[in-house]
Amino acid sequence: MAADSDACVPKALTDFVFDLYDSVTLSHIAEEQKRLYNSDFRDLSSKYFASTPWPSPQTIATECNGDPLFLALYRELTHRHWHAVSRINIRDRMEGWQVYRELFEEILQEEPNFYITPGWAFDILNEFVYQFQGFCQFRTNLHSNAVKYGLIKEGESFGSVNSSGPAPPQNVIDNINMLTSADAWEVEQVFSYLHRLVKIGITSERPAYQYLGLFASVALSRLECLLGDYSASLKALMPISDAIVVKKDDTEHTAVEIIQSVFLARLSMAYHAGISFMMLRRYKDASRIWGDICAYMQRGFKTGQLRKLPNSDQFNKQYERMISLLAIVTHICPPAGTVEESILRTIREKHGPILSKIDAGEEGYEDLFMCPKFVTASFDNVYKLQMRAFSKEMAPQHACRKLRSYMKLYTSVAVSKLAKFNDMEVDDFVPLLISYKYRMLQPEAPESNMFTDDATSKSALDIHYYLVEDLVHVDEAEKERRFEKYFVGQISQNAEILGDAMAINTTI
Amino acid sequence: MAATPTEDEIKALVASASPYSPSNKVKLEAYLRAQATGNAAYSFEANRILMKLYQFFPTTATVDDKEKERTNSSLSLVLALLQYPNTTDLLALSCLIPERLKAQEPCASILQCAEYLDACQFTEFWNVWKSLETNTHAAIAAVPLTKHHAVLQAGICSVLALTYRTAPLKTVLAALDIASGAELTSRQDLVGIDKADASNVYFGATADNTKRNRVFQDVDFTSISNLMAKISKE
Repeated sequence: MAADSDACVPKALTDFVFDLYDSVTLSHIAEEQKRLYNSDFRDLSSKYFASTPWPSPQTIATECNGDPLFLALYRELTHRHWHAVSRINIRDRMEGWQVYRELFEEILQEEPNFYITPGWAFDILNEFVYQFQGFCQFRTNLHSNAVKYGLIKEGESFGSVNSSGPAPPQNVIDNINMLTSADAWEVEQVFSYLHRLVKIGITSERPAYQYLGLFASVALSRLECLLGDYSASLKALMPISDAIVVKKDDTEHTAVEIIQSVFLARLSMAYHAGISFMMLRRYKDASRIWGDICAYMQRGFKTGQLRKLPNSDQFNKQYERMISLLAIVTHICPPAGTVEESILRTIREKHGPILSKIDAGEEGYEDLFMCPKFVTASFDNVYKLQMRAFSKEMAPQHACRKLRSYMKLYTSVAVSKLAKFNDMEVDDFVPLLISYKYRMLQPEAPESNMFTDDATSKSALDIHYYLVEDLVHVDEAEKERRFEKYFVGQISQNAEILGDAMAINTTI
Repeated sequence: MAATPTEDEIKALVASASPYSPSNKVKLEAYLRAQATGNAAYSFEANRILMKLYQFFPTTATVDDKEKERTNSSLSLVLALLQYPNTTDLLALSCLIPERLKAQEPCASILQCAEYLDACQFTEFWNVWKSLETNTHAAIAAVPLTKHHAVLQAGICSVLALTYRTAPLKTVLAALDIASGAELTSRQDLVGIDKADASNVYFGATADNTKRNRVFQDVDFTSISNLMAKISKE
């Protein structure tokens, strides 16, 4: 892969490698490393390696005293670049596994003293999960091809290749042989590395390990979500709290602040956690997490702030996906103050027509369900499984919304009358009345920590109703009047004005 | 058959750096069996990890392996169902167990029971549940379903109490699969019921089944004037 690039190494590159090595292993200066990692690497890549790989680690080893950790970091960085600019084949995928294995073994076994920025730490772990996801998808496609050509039966693993159908293309056979001949991207090992990084991040006092630990939590959460394990996805985010503090030089930052300093990490965490909340029937928590990030992004798009960040080209697409998902949860479960009005307006503008069709019973929520690319470590159709689970959850919503719209018109109404409005017999209608209230009693996390174990059951309804014999009594839901932000803001503004007024020199 | 691990061993396994190691399968299967027979505390995390291990390491090599996977998937689903009215465990497991297993018995009947409970179609639920009790599939034979009858009745009662302040007696009897009002009033475990007479059941007053108090939005100035005076001095 790197043979051509090794031939002639520009001086700018050797200088870059030397400076980066110094910042990682010796100086640990964050600002300098940010410049090298974010700007210089990008500039050198576009100038010298726009469609070719960077030189191999062996070529630049003299610039870094052959330091095994730095060489492993360099190899990962340049492999990631190659992954982004080229068309990946199975050899590249297998090599990717070796790259990450080497890097994580070096970090976990030897525990060297080094420093990488939060952004770099996140990029490593994000790419690790991304490449595993790509490998699983590749393997699933290969499996489908193998079944199609009669090389294996449906539901069977890859074994020895014996075709019983039409002659398969040679590349299919070659790929299967390569896949079965090597241990690559074993799911148990992938999880093991992430779990070990999380643990070492909790116990270590070195910033680099703490960053890796935190972003391993984010990566683990994403991976669990992609595999359809939503409770594990949320559980993986528990280490991220204000209780954990990272000290670098003279500054201290909480775990939450570290995550928020890398916007892609914040985005990934919000998106996948929101999906997990929604699939576990925690609509208010999903609403809150997506509402917050979408409001932040909307402001960021208006001020141009987000455009300055790395990978900003991906932000718009993610924003649209989350708006679409927010349309689902706010339609089922009216937000009552958890989502800003500007976001609700955007939802109405973009998805108003489709939501009206859903209300009329003409369509379902499936078109709005911007789910991740689910993967499987086996060969079951995990996408179909998750879509079925989603559709099953959404199936009663049309009847529930219709029921809600009628109940909002009354303070008390006979069950039989309400049943008639809903085109149902009383015996079929009463279970709907009871189940609507029951299904909307959902776990809700406290505002201080969304990923705690301390979620309490609260009603997600914006109406309150109960039955006395055959009469339904309807009341508005208990409103949570939040005054403190308004008053504290006004008090603080008043104090500022008063201070300015007192400072005016009134002596003549 | 492997010895049953202790609850502490299972907690350590769940919290370890390699919960998805295939070597954990035997321990987790043994613990699931112990949960089913009532000899170990319920652990959603342990059962979830076992379902993931089946996903990661498909055991389709022999008929016995397939049967074990079906048995243990069914057991984990029925144990999650017994946490009703809590549905989170069942929702989570439903997204992990493949469709091909969910379509087979007894998973199909267990999930049908879960759907009826979710939709509060309690009469239909008892029909399916009682047929499971009388013709228990071999896969879930370890679970004493009749013993859990009362647990499910208590769960259903708590769901009724969310919505009903006063309910017709026959509705409650059908929902709880109880023959008579006298039997209903003798049941101490049905929390939420105040009393019952010949026509109605009266549930205890809670915030869920009574009128809410109005919350006043305005805050008068005198209650915050001290705070403002303090800030203005700073």
